[in-house]
Amino acid sequence: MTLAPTGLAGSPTAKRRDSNATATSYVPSWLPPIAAVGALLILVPLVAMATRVDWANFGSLVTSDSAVAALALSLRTSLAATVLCVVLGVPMAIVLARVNFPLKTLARTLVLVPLVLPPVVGGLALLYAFGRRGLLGGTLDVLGIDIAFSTTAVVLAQTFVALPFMVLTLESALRARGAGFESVAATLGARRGYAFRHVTWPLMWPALVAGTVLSFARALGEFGATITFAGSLEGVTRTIPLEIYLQREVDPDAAVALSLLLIVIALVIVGLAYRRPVSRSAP
Amino acid sequence: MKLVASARIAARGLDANVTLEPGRTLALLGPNGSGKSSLLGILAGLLRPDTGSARLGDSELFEVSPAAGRWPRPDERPIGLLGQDPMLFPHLSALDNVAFPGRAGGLSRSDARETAMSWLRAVDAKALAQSRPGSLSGGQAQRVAIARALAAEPSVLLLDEPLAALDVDAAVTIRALLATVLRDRTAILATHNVVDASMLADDIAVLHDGTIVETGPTRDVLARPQHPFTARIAGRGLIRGVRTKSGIRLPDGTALSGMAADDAPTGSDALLTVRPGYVRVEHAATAGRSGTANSVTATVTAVETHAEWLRIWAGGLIADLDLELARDQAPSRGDTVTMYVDPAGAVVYRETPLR
Repeated sequence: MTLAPTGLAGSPTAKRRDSNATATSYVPSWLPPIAAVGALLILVPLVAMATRVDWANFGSLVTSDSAVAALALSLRTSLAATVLCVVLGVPMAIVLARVNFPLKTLARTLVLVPLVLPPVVGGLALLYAFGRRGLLGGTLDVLGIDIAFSTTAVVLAQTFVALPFMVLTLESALRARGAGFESVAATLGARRGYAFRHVTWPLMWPALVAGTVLSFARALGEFGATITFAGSLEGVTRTIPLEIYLQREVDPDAAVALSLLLIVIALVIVGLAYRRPVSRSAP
Repeated sequence: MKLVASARIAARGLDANVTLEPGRTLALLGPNGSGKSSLLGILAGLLRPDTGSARLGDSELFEVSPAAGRWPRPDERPIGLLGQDPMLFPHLSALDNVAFPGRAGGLSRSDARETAMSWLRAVDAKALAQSRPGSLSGGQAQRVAIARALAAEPSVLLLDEPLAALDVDAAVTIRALLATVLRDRTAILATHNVVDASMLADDIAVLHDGTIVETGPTRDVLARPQHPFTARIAGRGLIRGVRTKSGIRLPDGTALSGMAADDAPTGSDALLTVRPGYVRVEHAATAGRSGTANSVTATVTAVETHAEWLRIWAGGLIADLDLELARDQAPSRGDTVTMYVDPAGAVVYRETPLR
């Protein structure tokens, strides 16, 4: 018996650009509608707010002296808080992901506390730590430093609430990747410092970008801890969220306009965070 | 440089000694979980044993004991490690991956790249220099990883199942490359594959449940195994008995003839090994028609199905049975069979426990 040669059905040339082939979906059919309800819960309030904006006066509302002062202060403090989050958060994440030490579970839980704590409570806690009559207040007073109700207090409050975002993002990325590349680097003769700069750091870059953007966003939106710990002094501690809260009573149109501005900034930030990570060049 | 090492990890049941002569490749042959990777990890400095020590040439590599402790970090050891997964740094080009050891050692970027290029040429991967690791095939990536491991210029190169993750075609070409690379190099190759061991290694140490059960030159170990486990992975039958004039006598009195490989005296402990091709299997019930000369009657302990034949394990012997001929008369596990041994293919030699 002779067999005719079979066709090469799987050869690369058989691939078509206009193919409609798709993978089978394993998502239960009742699931997307629920997801849609969730999306509406977020979307509807945003749309509702947009409908209340006084577009004719929008420009003057967001460029009033107090609005500009609040905006400038917010950007300054949020940037400072973000820098602090990077400086403190990167070592915290690496230690949590890579170093074994006693009470590690407790340490990880503590890092999450600011995330679940009402910000007002966080502000009170900061006040009792760094305030004039706080735990460290006396020491700081001797050194001539008075933190409470200053711009420094705003930055501290924002760092306090934003730090968990940085640590969580970085730590989960580090744990997901494992330490395999670091051990390869070591067997290739790289000392720990070199391996950190040329392997750990570039590989954690995408997570660092995401963590930075999230921390900045959280710092920008901070309200409760700031008003408790730093108060609401125009140009000194009154950030955009505090300004919005104040204007809500006095001038609702200004509050709505500023809120919209904050929403736009938040959208831009979230968009940045979820962008494809940029590839990095050689060391 | 000569490497002498011993290490013990109680939790993993590892308790092994290895000796590696300069310029030779030693295969650590054993199944998954036998402790091969642990042993390599200890030598590389990635895994600290309970106790152990190692000397490389005239200097101490490490010493871990209740009394003393000298445990250099991996980057402080002149030892390279190539794993199953190439683990190329994804953020660097192939060239910069190979340049990494040079850069880490303090070379300028251009010097490190120049050296890296010559290593890439040495493994026939010059064309891949500018590629990102993500765009390389498994075989290409392992080629670059070999160049990178060599670029660190280790005194001893450790290879942990370097072919296990590759498809058949890539494994063939990378095996050929490793054969060139490992010539005259001091290296330890951990593998579960007897083909890799026989093609790449000068010596073999067989690792079984965390201990080395036999060691010696590759050809001797594979052709005349001492341990049943070695015979099993080498695909040979192995029977223990007492030396007679024409072969060996089993404990139950059965006599088997074979060719003597040495001049051990009769009555001494002896082994007989035979490849499946020289063994014929028959159901014990139908046996006897052709006589029971030079045969062993035993229970089938395992049946392995291959593409065109069945491999039958019984009484320490292996026989292959053509599937076409066997049909439904093929023996299955638990059956009693008679294994006929062709004396022309059976080798009888001295039993030397733990050589």
